[in-house]
Amino acid sequence: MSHIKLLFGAWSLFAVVGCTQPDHDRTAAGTAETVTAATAAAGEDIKGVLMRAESAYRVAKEKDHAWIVTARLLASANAALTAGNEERAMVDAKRALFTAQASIAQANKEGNDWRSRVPRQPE
Amino acid sequence: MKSWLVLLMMLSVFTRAVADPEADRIAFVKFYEQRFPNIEVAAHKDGTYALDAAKREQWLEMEDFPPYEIAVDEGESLFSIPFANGDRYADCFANDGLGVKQNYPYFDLNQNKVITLELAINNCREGNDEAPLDYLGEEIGYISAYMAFTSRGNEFDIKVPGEGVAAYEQGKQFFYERRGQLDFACSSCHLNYAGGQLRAEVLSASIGHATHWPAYRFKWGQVGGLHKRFAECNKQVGAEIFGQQSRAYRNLEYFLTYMSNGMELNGPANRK
Repeated sequence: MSHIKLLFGAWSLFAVVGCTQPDHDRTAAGTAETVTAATAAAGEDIKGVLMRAESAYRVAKEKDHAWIVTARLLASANAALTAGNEERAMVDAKRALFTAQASIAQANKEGNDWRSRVPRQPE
Repeated sequence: MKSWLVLLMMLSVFTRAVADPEADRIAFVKFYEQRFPNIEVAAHKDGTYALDAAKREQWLEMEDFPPYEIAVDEGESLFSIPFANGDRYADCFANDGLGVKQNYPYFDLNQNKVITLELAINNCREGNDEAPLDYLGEEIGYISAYMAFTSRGNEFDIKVPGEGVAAYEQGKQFFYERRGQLDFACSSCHLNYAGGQLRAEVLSASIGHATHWPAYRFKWGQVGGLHKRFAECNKQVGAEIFGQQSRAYRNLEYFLTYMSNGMELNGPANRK
């Protein structure tokens, strides 16, 4: 009987400790740590990433291929930076950079690929 | 000097040979004929209602008391009101602006750009010292609805002069080019998947897309132009939109309307 009490006690303690940090907090903290570590390793600072993202976005716009999501992420990154939340700003700036680069790649690819979709008259 | 001229002439001939709007249109028509062998090409002027019998039945019932009727009446009244200088809209258009929509958009050689009906309406206003209308507002929808109504039954007769080929080609590229986060082209939905479904909606064919504008859309709660629909489509695929009457949308309208050459105008229309 005493070992059952001991097991129940251990489980209760584990459950309480586990509940003190919700899953999403742990995920967010994990992401932020990963980003910070990766950024530090790459020697990047948030302002540099943001500048690269904004520059890539401008190129996508010039090519008439900008995506809605990029502008949203840039706005969100800037807002987070203003609020002093560098981790959040870094996550959004990196996503903005990624989507801006993807939209440029799309523009470059489509520069020729669209021709293959034009219906042709049978020979 | 002579050799330069010959080279330029050859280049011009070559460009025209590559860009052949009429060959494009014939291939476009053939594509839909093969895609929908049981539907006459002319029937695509009704958009998705040419493809789905049940939806068509509901749509025809709505046509008994069409929601754009008020817009046509309002448009007629606005169209006849003289500007402050005494001139009227009728003075800016051929045939007093009645039954002329089949010739829009056209490539203006003097301005070296595509002129749509909505742009011509605002050009008319500005030429008479009136403020241009908001392209997303109701007033321009009313006026263009009235002008479209007077053009019903006429057939599109869009021309692409040599100088307009570049604009036509840009519109064509826009139509077939994938864009946005979802990586969709206009042609993805309205050519490749025409007749298929996106949730409960049946995707219309692009041929005939230009015949019935402006349209009263229930989701808009007002009559709006083709460019408003272009912007909506772009937004739906996650692409940044272009301005109303921007060069990109005017050229797209030019291409799309040319593809509907010979088809009957039946605007304004009502759409979900």
